[in-house]
Amino acid sequence: MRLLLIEDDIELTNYLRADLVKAGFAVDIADNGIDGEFLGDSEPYDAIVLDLGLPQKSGLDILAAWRKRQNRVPVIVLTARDAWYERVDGFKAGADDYLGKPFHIEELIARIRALIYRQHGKMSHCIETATLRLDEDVQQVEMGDDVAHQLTGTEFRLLRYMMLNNGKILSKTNLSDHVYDQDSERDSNLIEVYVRRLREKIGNHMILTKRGQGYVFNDPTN
Amino acid sequence: MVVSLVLLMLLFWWAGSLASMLLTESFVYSRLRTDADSLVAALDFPELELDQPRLGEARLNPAYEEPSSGKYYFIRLQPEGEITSRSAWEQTLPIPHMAAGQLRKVKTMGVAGEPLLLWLGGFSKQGHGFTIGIAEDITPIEARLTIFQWYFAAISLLLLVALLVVQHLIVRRSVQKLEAIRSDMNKLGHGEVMSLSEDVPSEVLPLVQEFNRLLMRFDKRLKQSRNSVGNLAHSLKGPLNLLLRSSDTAGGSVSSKQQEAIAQNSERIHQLIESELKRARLAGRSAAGQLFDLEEELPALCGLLKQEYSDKNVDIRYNIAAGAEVTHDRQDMLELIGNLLDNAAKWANSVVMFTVREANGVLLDIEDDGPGCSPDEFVRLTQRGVRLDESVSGHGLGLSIVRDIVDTYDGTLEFSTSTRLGGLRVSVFLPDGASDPT
Repeated sequence: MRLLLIEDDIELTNYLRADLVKAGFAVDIADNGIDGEFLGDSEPYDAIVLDLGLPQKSGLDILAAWRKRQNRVPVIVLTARDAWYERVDGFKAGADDYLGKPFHIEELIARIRALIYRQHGKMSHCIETATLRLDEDVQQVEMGDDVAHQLTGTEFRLLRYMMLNNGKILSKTNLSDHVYDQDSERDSNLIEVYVRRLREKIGNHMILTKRGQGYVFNDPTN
Repeated sequence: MVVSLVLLMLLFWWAGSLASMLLTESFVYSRLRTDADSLVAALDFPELELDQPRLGEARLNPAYEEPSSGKYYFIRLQPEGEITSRSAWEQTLPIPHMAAGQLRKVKTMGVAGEPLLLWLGGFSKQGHGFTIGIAEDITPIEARLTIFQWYFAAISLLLLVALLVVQHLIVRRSVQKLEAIRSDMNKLGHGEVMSLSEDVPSEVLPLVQEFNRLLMRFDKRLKQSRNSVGNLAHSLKGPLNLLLRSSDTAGGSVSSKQQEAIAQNSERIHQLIESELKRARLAGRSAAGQLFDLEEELPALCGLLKQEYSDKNVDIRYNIAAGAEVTHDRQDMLELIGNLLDNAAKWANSVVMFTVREANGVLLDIEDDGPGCSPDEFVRLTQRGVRLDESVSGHGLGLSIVRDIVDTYDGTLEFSTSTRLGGLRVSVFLPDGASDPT
């Protein structure tokens, strides 16, 4: 899952980035409105955390501009003025959720997850398929018969994205877009490497290769 | 106003009448004088003392020869003797002796009581002194003058009426412009306009401009104070956020007890800032900011709450009675209604109902089908001065700011049990802002 964090408070951004990466997200940062708006339009983020008080262009304007261009990326709005009129203005501009500062990082992470689940049409509070259950807090995958495998950061991000897109063909570019942030080295061979490692942990039959197209996560008992 | 105008017109009429009369008289006198001059020219004194002087061919108006024609002359000779016109048979006007060069104009009465203008002059010719009196009956002239004065009075009256009408129209037009200002002010009170129109009579323009300047200054000050409050919040919350985060992740460097204390106090500071800043942000009823629009804001507010409680599936219904409107500051009203609806949605099982009614102000009812409160709790909730966020667990933070808003608007806040839904019912009454601008 790849996030964009648009926030001008550098210190807060550093903490948030560290916490969000630890929670298993690939995180890009923008510290002003113009860059933030551009990134939000050009990269396929799974969610955007948007501060309202930004230099150069306000958060509400950015949001309204995205929505006008049919950019439906899920957006959580952050603001220091925890006032209802701001929430209403945010809602009108097209925000999906709202968090007043200061907040606990757990709250933000929970909301980002909920938003992403909702985006993928899941109403439950965890990611599971017929035989696999992903524990996001400790980043491990649990198999049906009380077997659990610890996952590395990239493995976790990859598996989570595949499980959320259960049954869909996912190209290598698509996968690396959602697993790595924009500063990471992107090599399509890396995706092959991580897919192989995941297969070793959860079984070959879970991830099918579609020649020339990519991969499909397919829990066969589904 | 009207009386003074009538008096002025009376004065005008009087002056006009007097002038016409004086003019006529002076005209008659000058004609009489011309006749007198002709008489003097025609008067011939014989050489012999004993002979009577004779009146030669005088080019006089034939009326002097007709009896009782109304035109008479008398020539009184010195030391004695008199020549009178044939018309003056019955007239006996006393003609005094006058020295040569003396003139006199007299208004007198004839034998039948008719008004006469008498011109008297002393002359001297061929060594003989004499006095000529020449008179004219002015009855016909006066009759014509009276007719003229009637006409004049009628015209004056017409003029007066016309003046009154024109004046009335002028005054009404100016007042109509003032009426526009009044309705503008009314609109201002309801927030439909941001300033008064400056298309007004020039007499009141400076007043209106001054008023608009004041409005602008007030509006600016409100925005400034709101902004600075917001900026203060922003600048305080950044460090507070970091503090919260450090307490979350301090780990082994501090004891867990200390960590908890830091967390608790940060949270407390946060809540204090929150409630005080919200209080400071209230605009109050005298504000000239953006006004609340029920039809526009309620759908957004309900959508927002449905999004917030999406995992709960709460049905938030609202009903705005015809004619009901909330003419107050948008931010204040969103804070008020947002908190009440949020509270209701939090406690509701599945339904929240919001009704807006008109009652010399606006009546807001928020009902839910949640667990509600006991009568004891209603009393505690309604107690003034009790900080609701401290006294009632569950009905959190929000109700404290709700109370502040209602107080700011001189409204009332009541709690009861909803008869329709069985949960809590909160009723807020806000009096009309425009009728009592305090």
